[in-house]
Amino acid sequence: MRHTIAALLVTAVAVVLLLNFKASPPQLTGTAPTTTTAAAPARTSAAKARTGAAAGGASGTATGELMQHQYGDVQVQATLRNGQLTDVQTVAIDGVDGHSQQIDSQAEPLLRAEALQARSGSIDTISGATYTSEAYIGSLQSAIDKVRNA
Amino acid sequence: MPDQTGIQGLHRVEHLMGMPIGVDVRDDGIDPAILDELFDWLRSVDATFSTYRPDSEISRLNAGTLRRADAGPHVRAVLDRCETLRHQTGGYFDAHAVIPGAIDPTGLVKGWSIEHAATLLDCAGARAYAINAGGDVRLRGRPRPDHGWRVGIQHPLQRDRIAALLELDDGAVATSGAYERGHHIVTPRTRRSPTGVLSVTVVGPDLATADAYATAAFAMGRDGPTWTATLDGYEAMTILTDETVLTTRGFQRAARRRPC
Repeated sequence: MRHTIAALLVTAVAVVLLLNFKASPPQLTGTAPTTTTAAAPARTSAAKARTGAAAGGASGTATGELMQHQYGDVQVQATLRNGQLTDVQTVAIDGVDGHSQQIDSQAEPLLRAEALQARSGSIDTISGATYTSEAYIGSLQSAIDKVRNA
Repeated sequence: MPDQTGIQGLHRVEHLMGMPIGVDVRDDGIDPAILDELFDWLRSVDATFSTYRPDSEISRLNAGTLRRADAGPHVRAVLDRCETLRHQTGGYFDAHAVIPGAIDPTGLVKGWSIEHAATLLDCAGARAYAINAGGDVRLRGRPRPDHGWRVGIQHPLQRDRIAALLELDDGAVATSGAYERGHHIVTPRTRRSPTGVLSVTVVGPDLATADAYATAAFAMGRDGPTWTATLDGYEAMTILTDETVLTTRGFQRAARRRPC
């Protein structure tokens, strides 16, 4: 028993707070989340707003797939400039009950900041992400793919 | 995702088995048809194993209209492996504990099916890819020449933060916690959610095993970290409710691994 306990290392709480995604530009967290209570939006929404061929990568805006999670739906729109993610807007975020909507409303601006941070190159993928954020990331990835394949 | 190196790669996300599953291949020149094959495989797994589909083999086993001996080879292989893992984890990974009176191997099916998906990518020539299935991750190679895959571990209390950052080339990362999907893990003996632990992350070569170990260690509560220190080939990080972080020695090495 002592042997196995000795094999464990206790790490300071500082490790837990390794990165803080709140350090994103303030203008990216200013919009209120869009809450939809109507029926789920159609899945076919390749709303390409503009495409510009620029050196270094794709540019344009596209809406990702509607992603479902246990408590509702998430759909985001991504804007890329020269292959870099420059903005993310939530097109639809919908909880199946009031509590979920409240959670989603809190989560949305944070996820948006997280997405922009994560795509800056510091993180490739996330383990143990919450259901909502996984759906968010899923929709975001499909939006990015649409811009790049346009 | 294209990057500074100009590699186009392959990317697709689909919603399957109740979660978004994302595939991110960073090699050039891979036939995109492999993604169709990969997601077709996952769809077939869902049709076979889903407890939400009354016509799945698992649902028919639980309804008593299908005998285990008559089930397909995939179902029998997965159920056998569930039994092995139940013994390995002292009963804390238990496919019978999820739904009283029924078997639910979902906890193993995800990792098992993603392992096969990884093999499909291997055979198609892919050498650098990440598959993320609802927060459980299977990796191979390097996304960029100068460093491995950077995997953020979700902070269990603050959803805008990560708790740790791992960097690794090959392997699997699975995280279990009460914060995802509500309290879906119960301790077999008490049928209650374990206390004292916020999340357990397990790193190792096989995603199905890592996922089962993370589930078991989480179900063990405060006894989990000691158990994870006995695992062969798998390393773990446990975050307790007071935000103390306990890691096995190898986990620290994985977290510190840096490009040479």
